[in-house]
Amino acid sequence: MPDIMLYRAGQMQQVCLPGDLVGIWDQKVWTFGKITLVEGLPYGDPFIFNLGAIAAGGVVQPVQLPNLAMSDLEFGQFRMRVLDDVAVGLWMGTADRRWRTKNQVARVTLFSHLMDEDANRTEFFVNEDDYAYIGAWNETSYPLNVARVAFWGFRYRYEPARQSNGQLYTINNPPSTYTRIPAQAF
Amino acid sequence: MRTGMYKSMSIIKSSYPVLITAANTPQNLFLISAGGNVPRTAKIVKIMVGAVTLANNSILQFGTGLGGAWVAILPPFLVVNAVDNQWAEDQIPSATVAANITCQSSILGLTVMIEVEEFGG
Repeated sequence: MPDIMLYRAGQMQQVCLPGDLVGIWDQKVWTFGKITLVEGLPYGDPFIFNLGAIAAGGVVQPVQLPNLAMSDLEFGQFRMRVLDDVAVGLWMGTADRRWRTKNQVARVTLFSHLMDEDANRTEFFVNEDDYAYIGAWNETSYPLNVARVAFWGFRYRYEPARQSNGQLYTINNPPSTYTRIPAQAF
Repeated sequence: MRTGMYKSMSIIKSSYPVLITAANTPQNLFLISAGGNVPRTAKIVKIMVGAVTLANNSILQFGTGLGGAWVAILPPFLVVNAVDNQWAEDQIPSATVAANITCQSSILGLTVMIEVEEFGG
């Protein structure tokens, strides 16, 4: 599949299908895999996280999302939206904040969904057990009893992709076409 | 009719039911979200007033600020005694404010609740 499937507008779709080759950017290394299975991860509990009560003006430091971690040789494609009036930031690893410009970092709020109904700009990838984290800001003038964030997407299983001579592909000798999966360590 | 944006970019919130405890004295009704990088604004889109125990009709006003800082944002509403008083969006001017919404009544004892649309980021 071409890279235009990433962050694609409209309802979330798979970025690749079984048999496709992917290059996964993770820990600052490209790893190449061949997709063997794709499965949906529907919207709903337990992929809705509750960051709990937040005082007016309060901040929740990044919280690990173990429920989004994937098994070995799997990656997940996720989109997210907030369900309560809270601003949420995404970290892939506690030092890797997402959605950055030079001087600012975007957050998802209740208003994000009004402009971006399908949440395609929130899309991110989790490779194996590289944990995602979310932090939150209560910018209302009153305490929030709950601060919920919902995730949904697809699960991909892959096997290491090899050349015809049995050698693993590397970035110096990559497949002729592959879908880039920007997983972690940007 | 609604005017302004052709596509709603607002979220819906409501106040708590607020009992008017003193006549002609502004009270907080809706706390606007104030902690973001940009201010939010709000407009009232629905009003419910319970007034079943009052002796007379009353005049209810919505505004911003408390005490001497109170400023009206809508014309006065006549609250008729012994009935439920409700106004919906079509009947309320689209006054948008960037402050807490307060209200005052000529008679104490009303219970007021509003629904607002909040705009911002």
